[in-house]
Amino acid sequence: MRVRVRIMAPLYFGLDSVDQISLDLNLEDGSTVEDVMNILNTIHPGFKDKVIKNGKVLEMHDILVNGRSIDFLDGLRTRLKDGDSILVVSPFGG
Amino acid sequence: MATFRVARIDLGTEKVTEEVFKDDVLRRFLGGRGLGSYLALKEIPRGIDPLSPSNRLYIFAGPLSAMVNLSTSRVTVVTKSPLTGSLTHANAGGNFAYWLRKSGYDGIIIEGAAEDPVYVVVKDGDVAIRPAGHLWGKWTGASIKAILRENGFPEEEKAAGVAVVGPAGENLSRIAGIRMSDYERFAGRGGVGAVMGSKRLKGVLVWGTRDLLKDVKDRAKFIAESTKLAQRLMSGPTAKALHIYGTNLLTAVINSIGAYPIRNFETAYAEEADKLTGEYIKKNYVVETHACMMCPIACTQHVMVKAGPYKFVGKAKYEYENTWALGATLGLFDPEADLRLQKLANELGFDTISLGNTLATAIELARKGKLKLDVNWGDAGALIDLVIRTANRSDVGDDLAEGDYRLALKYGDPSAFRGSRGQGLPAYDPRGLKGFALSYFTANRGGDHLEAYSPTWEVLGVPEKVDPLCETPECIEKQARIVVYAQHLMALTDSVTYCKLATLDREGIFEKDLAHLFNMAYDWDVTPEGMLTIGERIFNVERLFHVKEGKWVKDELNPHFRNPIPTGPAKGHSSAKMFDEGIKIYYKLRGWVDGKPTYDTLKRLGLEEFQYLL
Repeated sequence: MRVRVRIMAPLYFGLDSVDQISLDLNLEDGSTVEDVMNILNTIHPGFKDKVIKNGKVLEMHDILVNGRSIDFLDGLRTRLKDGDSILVVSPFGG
Repeated sequence: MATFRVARIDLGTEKVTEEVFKDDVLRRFLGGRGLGSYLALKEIPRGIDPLSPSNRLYIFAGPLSAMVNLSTSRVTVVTKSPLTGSLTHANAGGNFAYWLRKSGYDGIIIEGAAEDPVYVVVKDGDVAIRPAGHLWGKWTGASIKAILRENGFPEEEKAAGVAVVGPAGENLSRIAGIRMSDYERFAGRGGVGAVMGSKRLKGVLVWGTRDLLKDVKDRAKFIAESTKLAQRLMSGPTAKALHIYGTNLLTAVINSIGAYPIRNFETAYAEEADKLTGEYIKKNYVVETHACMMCPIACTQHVMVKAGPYKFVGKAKYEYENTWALGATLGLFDPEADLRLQKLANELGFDTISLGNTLATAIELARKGKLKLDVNWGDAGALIDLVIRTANRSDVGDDLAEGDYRLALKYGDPSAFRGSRGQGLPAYDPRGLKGFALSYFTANRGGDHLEAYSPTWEVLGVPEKVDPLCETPECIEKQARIVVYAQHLMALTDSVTYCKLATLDREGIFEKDLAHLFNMAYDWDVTPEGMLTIGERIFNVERLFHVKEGKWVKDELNPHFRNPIPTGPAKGHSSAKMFDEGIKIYYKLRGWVDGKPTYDTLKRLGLEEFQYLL
C-alpha cells in the first residue's frame, strides 16, 4: 500500500531542507505509524528521537494521519491503509 | 508598590494633564488592557459615536512592560470601536511599549479631536503637539520615517517608538488599524485606526531615558530571576520552531487538520494552500528574521518579492493571519500576490484580518449577484485595486471601508457576514477546532482568536490535549473550562504586558511566573490564583461595557457555522453542539446569565461600583 508522508518545518528538526519534506512510501499491509517513523529514521538518522521519546510523541509535537492526531487514534500503533496521508508536526503558534 | 503614570492629552484644547495610578487600582486591573478597559467603562459616555471627539483612545503599556526579557514590549489600545459599536482592544509588539515607558509615561490617553492634523511627541516627560498637515495622506512607512526625521532621529524604526495611521485610518475606514514601529507591527482590530484618524492624529512618537528598574525593590534579584525565566522559556521547543519559521508554520498544520477557512468560510481545506505555507515562503521569500524589543523568541520573518508582476520595494513583515486573510479566504493561492497584498495593507494602515474578511464578503456578494462588482475568487489584480479604493473610500471602496458586517447588511445578505459582534473571524474554522466555537463567540471584542487561543490545547496540548473535533459531554465541559481559564490568562498577557507566543509551551510564562515577577518588583503578595482573578475581573469589566451600551451582551453562534464543513479532513463537522451545550456550562462557570454578569459575580470580583449597570 502507498502512503504519503510529510515532515513540516524540517529546519526545526535539524533536517537539510527549508521547505516541507514529502515522501511516498510503499508499505506492507498493516503497517503502523511507528513503522513509518522507523523508515524515516533510516532515511534521516536520528529523526525518530526528535519526535518520540520513551515510546511517546514529545510534548507540543504531533503526528497526524489524514489530519487526525494519533493521540485520538491508536497512538504509534495506529494502522495505516492505502492512500493515507501522514504529517509529522513541529511546535508552532500564532 | 507600583505606580502607573499616564499623560492625558486633549487634542481639542491641547491641554495635557498627568495622572498617576497606584496599587489600589493596579492590583485590581494591572495596566494595558485591564486599566484601559476599566477607565473606558468609567469614562466613555454611553451611546456616543466612536468617531466623535467624545471617544477616548487609551494607549497603554503595562507595569512590567519592557522590564524583563520575556517578550514584554507590547502595547494595548483600548477604545469604543467604530466597527463593533462597543468596547474593543488591540495589541501590538515591536518597540512602542518599550519607548513609551522610557519616555516617562506608562500610558497615553487621547481625548477630543484636533481641528487640523497633528502628531504628538513625548520625550522624557515632555509632551508636544506638532502640525501634521504635510504628513496627511502619506503611507505608513513614509510617515514613520518623516516623523523620526523631523524630530532629530535617524530614519530607522529602532531609534524611537512611533505609531501612525495611514490613509485607511485618515479616511475613517472601520477596518483601519494603527501601525507601530519596528517593523510593520499593528494594533489592528476593531477599527482603532479610524478612531485615531477621527481625532486627526497622524502619529505618536515616544522616546526617553528613564530607568525602568529604578523602583524595583531588589534590582539584582529581579534581573537574576527574570533571566532564569527567559532561559526556561527559550529551552522549550516552541520558541525554537517560531524563531526559524515564524507564525506561518500554522498554515501546514491548520490546513492538514481541515480547519483552514477557504473562500469566506465556505470550506476548510485546500490542497492548493501548499504555496502559502511558512516553509515554502521561508524558502523563496524570507530575507531575514527579526525580533520585537525585549523578546528572546525573535519569531519575526521579513519577506521580499523582488521580481514578477507582484514585486514591491523593500521588505514586508508577514504573518499567518495576514497570509490567510489576503490569500486563502480570498481563494488566492499565489504567494507573491498574497505578500504584495500584505505589504499594501500594511502601508495603507489596514487591519489585515478584517480587510480579508471584507474582501471575501464582497467577492461572495458579487458572485451571488447582490453586489455589482467584477471580481472573482483569487483575482489578484482586482483585489489590489479594491484595497486601494477601500483606503481612499472611492466608488465601491466607500462601502468596503465600512467593513464586512455593514457591507453584507447593505447588500441584502447578512448571511455573507461570517463573524461575531460585527467583527470578522480569524484564520481558523470553528467547526474544525471546536474550542473556537466557544472562544470566538464569547470573545468580548468580537471575532477574535486571541482572547482564548484554542489550538494551544487542541493541537499543542497545553495545558492538556483536547480533541478539536470531540463533542461528548466530557469534551464540551472541558472546553468550556479551559476557554474560561484561557480568557483570564490572555487578559493578563494584554495587561502585564507580554506576548501570547510565550504561552505556547509548558516551559512558557504563566500565572505563577507573573505572580512571582509582580511580587518581586512591587512587593505585592499576589498568588497565581489571584493573578487569574485579575484576568477574570478584566474580562467582566469588558462585558459590562456591552451591558452599558445595550449591545452584544448575549453570546451567539453565527448561524453559518451550524452548517457542516463540506470538504476536507474535518468534513461533516459543525459548531452547533459545542456552542449550544458549551455556552450553558460556560455561563455557569462565569456566574453569568445570557452573557450578563450577575450581581453576585460583580460582588465576588470587587466590582460593586458597576452593579448599577445591571
